[in-house]
Amino acid sequence: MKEEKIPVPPIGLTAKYPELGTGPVPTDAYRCPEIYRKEIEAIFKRSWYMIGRVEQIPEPGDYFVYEMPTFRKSLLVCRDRDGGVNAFHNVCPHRGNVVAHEAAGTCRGVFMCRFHGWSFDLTGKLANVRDGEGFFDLDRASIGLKPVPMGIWEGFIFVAPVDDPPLTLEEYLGQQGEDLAGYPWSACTQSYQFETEIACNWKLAVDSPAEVYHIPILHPQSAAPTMMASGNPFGRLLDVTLLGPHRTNSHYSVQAEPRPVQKLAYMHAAAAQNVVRDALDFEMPPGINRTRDENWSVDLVMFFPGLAFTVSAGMYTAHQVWPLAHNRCLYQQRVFVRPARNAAERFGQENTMVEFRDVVMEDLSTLEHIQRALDCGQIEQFHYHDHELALRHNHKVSSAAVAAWEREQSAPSQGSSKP
Amino acid sequence: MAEVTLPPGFEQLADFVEDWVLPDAAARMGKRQSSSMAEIRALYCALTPVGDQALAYLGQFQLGELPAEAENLLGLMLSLAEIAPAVEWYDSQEVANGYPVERIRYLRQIPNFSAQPGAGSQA
Repeated sequence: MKEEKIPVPPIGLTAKYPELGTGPVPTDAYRCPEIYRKEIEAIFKRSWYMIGRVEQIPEPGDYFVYEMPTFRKSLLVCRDRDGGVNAFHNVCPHRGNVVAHEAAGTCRGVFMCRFHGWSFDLTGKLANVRDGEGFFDLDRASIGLKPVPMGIWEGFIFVAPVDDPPLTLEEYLGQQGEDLAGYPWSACTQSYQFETEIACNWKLAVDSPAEVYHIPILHPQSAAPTMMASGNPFGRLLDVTLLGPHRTNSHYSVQAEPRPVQKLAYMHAAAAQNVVRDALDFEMPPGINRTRDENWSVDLVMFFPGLAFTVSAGMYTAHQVWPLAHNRCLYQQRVFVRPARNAAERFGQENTMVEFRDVVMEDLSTLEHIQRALDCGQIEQFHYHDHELALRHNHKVSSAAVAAWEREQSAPSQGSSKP
Repeated sequence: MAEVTLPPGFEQLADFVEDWVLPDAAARMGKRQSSSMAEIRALYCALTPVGDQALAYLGQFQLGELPAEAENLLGLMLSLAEIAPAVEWYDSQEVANGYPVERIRYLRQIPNFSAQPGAGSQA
């Protein structure tokens, strides 16, 4: 393997998308509170968000509460007696207290508000009103838990933050979503989840793993030995595919000599590893490793604005970036692995999570420095490398969405149009 | 406290059990941050040479059915996974030049020893 000459991935990704241009990009949208407010209207209220997986609530009565950042909404997701998954605002219609009080659990068929004791069944219907005689023409049939627009894609539970989302979930996910069907998403039943609040604009957090030009410099000991080994000294990407507002980076890798503990994981606990290359028990869908390159390791599949999956043959991760202010965001990361077939494989799961987490810590290390420079006007343009195409695209898509929204606002009112 | 047990052949690791068999990944992350590199290296140097044998031993068992001594051994191996980057990548408890890991909050973790349904029949 070492003697083989592996071709260096070429320059020329940006040339596939001439509409994106090649010039420097202004940084206003990373620091300006007014642009941020417009992004919330133009982008975030019109998108869908991944908030969990169906495996979190396998049985009727199982539920979890999701505190939706950005919109500050408390949501309740539960499994009903017919096996359906329902999502509601976690708000009692009587006076506004929450009706599910724990982060997750199993209820005996009703959720009861601990304020006045109103209760609701697993389909959201009003089940009981204490001392109902004292109310005035209460229309019980219409007073239930208010549903949240919800959709399920490949076992992921998505919600929309507005009552009438302009796009269906399928329309939102588009071609990129279709091209990912068939990956064994639901086989990776075990997961870790962690989060951190970062003092940076949401686009910086989204952009942070979206280029690997930084690999040899930012990840010299961790990711670099595999991602820039042999014929790829600059750590270039294999490919970038832009599909509407979404995008996918395909990453190059060759097997380097693992460190001693990594080697233990690879040898004894390969099921949870991201290096499994052969003996796949599924057919790789067209959206993953689109170029079918044999030196492929992992794809970063990004759904605009804030959701991204890193997908490899053996495991995947999913992160969702939630804006909190023009210079603040919440970064939520999930690491999904296959169940351990024996106790040794439990070690492989932990090894995978720790390695990934520490590499993410390297990725996040620059963000607050950049934001400080942005906030005080020290950097007014970004200069993007050919293989930083995903960042150029992110900037283009977000600024185009804001511009379109501004045109809508200034147009004579004829109702809202679909983006 | 109760006598610490490890499977036959791993008795020499007994001194590490009290400090390094921890309830979950968040505790292991905290332990790595609060330990000296000398302590971390001591664990690394004791476990890595017997890692092959330890995983071969653990590979005989299903999660959820581990004898207490096997749980202790797996608990140590999970800590080895946590501290390995400190030794192999960073020469430091912290991610070198990294984002402060103590700002991470774990919201969901894989339990140390519980059964993991759905792994199929092949053991």
